[in-house]
Amino acid sequence: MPIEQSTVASFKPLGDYKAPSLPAADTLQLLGERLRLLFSKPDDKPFIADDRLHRSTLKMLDEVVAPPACGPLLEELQATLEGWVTQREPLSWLKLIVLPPGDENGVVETWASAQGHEILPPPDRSDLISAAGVELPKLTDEGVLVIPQLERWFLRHRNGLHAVRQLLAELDVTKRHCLVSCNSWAWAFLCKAVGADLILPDALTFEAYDAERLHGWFSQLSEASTHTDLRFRLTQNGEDVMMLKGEDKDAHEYFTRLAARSLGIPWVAWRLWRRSLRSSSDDDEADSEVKAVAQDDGHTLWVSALEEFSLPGGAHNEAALLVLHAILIHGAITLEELRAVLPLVGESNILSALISAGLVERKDRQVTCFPAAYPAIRSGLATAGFSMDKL
Amino acid sequence: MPSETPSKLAGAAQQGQEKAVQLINDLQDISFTKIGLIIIGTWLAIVVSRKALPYLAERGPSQVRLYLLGSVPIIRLMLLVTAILWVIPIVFNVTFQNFLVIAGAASVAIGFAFKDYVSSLIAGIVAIIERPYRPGDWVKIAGDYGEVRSVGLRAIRIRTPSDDIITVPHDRIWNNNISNANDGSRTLMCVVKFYVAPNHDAARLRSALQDVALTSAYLEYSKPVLVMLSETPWGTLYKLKAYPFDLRDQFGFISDLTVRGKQAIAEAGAVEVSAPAAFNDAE
Repeated sequence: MPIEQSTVASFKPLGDYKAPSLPAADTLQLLGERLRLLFSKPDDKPFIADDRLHRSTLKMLDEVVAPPACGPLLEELQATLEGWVTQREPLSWLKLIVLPPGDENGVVETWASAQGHEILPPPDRSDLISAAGVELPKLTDEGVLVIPQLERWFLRHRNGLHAVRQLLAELDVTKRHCLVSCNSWAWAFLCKAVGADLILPDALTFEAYDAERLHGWFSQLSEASTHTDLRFRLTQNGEDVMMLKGEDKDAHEYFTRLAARSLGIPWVAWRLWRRSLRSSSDDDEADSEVKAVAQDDGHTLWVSALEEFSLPGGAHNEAALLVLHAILIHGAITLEELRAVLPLVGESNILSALISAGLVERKDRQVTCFPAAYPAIRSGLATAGFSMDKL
Repeated sequence: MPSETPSKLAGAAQQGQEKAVQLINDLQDISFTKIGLIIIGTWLAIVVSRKALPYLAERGPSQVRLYLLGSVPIIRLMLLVTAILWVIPIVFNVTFQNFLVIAGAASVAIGFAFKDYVSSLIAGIVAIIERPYRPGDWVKIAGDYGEVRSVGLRAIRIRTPSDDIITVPHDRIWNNNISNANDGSRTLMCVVKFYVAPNHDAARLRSALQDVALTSAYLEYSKPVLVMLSETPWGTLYKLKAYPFDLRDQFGFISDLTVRGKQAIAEAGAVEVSAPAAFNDAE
C-alpha cells in the first residue's frame, strides 16, 4: 500500500477492526530469517552490536517520539463525532466508543475537555460494593454528557454491578447526547453480565494502525522534534527505517512488523517504538563504517529488534492469567480490589512476579497491564481459552 | 501338441489346488526383516503419536487441545490397520479359500478363548467411530466419573477427581449408559446446589446467585447462566448452572460458586439447610 496523505480517518463499527497482519511473503521471509539465524555462523554479526548501545534517555525520547501515546486519535474522534454532536434530534442519543486497554492518556476524556463537554466522573470503587451503594446524579441537563471509562463503574464482584446497572437504566431513558467510552475487555464482560449491548448497541472503535499510518505518525513526531537530520537505523543491517521503499513508496517492513506486533493499537506501537530506540555510546570504539554512518547522518538513533514479553510458565501460569484477565477488565485497580474479584486462595506473590516480568506496572496504589506487553498478554489469555474481548 | 494340452491343464490345476491349500508362504519367501521393520516402524509411530500429541495438546492453544487428544486413537487405528494389511500378504498366501479357512479357525479360537477380549477390541473400533468418549472428555461410566486420559485398544483409562486411575473395557458400551459431560467441547455445565430454608425472599436470592455466577473469574461468556429452584421436603433447592471457559477449571469454578453463593445466601437473609446424603445422591 503506498503512503498517501489522506484525510482524517473516522472510527468504525465494533467488529470491523482488522488488526494488521504480516503479509504472507513477509511471514515466509521472517520464517526464513529465523531459520537463517538459527543456523548462522558465529561471525554473522549485526551491523552494530547491542552492547555498544544504550537505551535512549527519557528526555531524548520525549523529543523524538513525543507523547501523547494516542497519536492522531483525537482528530479522528472529533471527525467521527462532530456531526452527531451538532444534531438537535439524533437517531441515537447514545454513542459508545470501545478502545483496547492501555489508553493512559484518556482519549475520550481529553477530547471532552478540549471540546468543553460535561464529564461524569466515575464513582469511588470502594462505594461500588458497599451496602450504601452509589448515588447517581441527574443526567437531564442540556449539552453533551461524556462518561469516560465505563470500566470504573463496576467491580467483577457479586455486589459490584449495581452502579453500572443503575447508570445504564438512566441512560436508557435520557434524551441527551451521551458519549460513553469503555475498554474492550470490560465491554465484553458488561455485555454478558448486564446486557449492556442492548442499551448501547452501536459501538465504535478506531481504525487499526497499519504500517503506513504508523510510519506517517512517527515521521511527523520526529520531524517536529528539535533534532535535525535524525536517522533511525536498524541495528541489524543499518537500514534507515524511515526511508520509503520502491516506486509505490511503501513503508519499511519494520513498520509492518511493528503494526502486526502491536495489533494496530497506537499506544502499544508508540511504546514498542520508544523501547526499540537506542543511542550509541559516547566513548564508542565503533567500527569505522558505523562511525562514518553516524557522522554522515548528523544524529542516528538505532532501532533494535522489537521487545519480546513472555508470561510466567509452570504451575503459576493459571493464577497469573487470572490476575491479568482481572486487570484488563478493570483497568487500573488496587490490590484490595484485585483480591475481591479473584478466586485466589491464600496469599499470593503472583503479582510481584508479574511486575518483575514487566507485564504489570504499579502506579501509586494501583496496578495496570504494561501497554507494550498487552499483545503478549492477550495472546496468552487466548491460548488458555479465556473469554476474550472483541474489537 | 494336441495330446500334451490336457495333461498341462491338469498339472496347472493341481498346482493351483496345492497353492490354494498352502496357508502360509514358504519360509524362504517370507521377508522377516521387512516384517520386523513394519512392526517396529508402526510401534514407533504409535508411541510417538501417543507421547507427542498429548504433549502438544497440554502446551498448545486450549481450542485445539481436545482435537489433538482425540486424534491419538484414530491415528493408532489407522497405523495398525495399515501394518496388518501390509504384513498379511507377506506371511499368508491370500486366496478366497484360505480366507475362509483362516476365518473359520479364528472364529473357533475367538468363540472359546478370546470372546471378551475381541468384544472389547471391536467395541474400541466402534467407540472410535461413534465417539461416545474421546481423550480429554469427562465421562461417567457405571458410577465412575473422570477425565478420559487415554483410549487404548481394549480399554480406556479414566482419571477421577481423587486422582485414581480406573481402567474400563470398551465392551461396556454394549450394555452401559455412557454419560459424557462435554462431548468433545472444551467446556461443560457445572451445577452447584444450595438447600435453603423455605422462608426467604426467593426473587432476591435468585438474582444474587445469578450475579455470583456472572462475576466468576472462570465464566465462559458465550454460554448461559441459569438459576433454577424447586421446593423439596427439606427446603428450597437452588441449582446454579454455568460453564467455565475451560473444563479443567470445573472444580475451581464449582468451589468459587459455592463459596460466594454461601455468602450471597447469608447476605440475602436466608439460611442454608442440609439434606440427607442419600437424597442428595438421588438428585
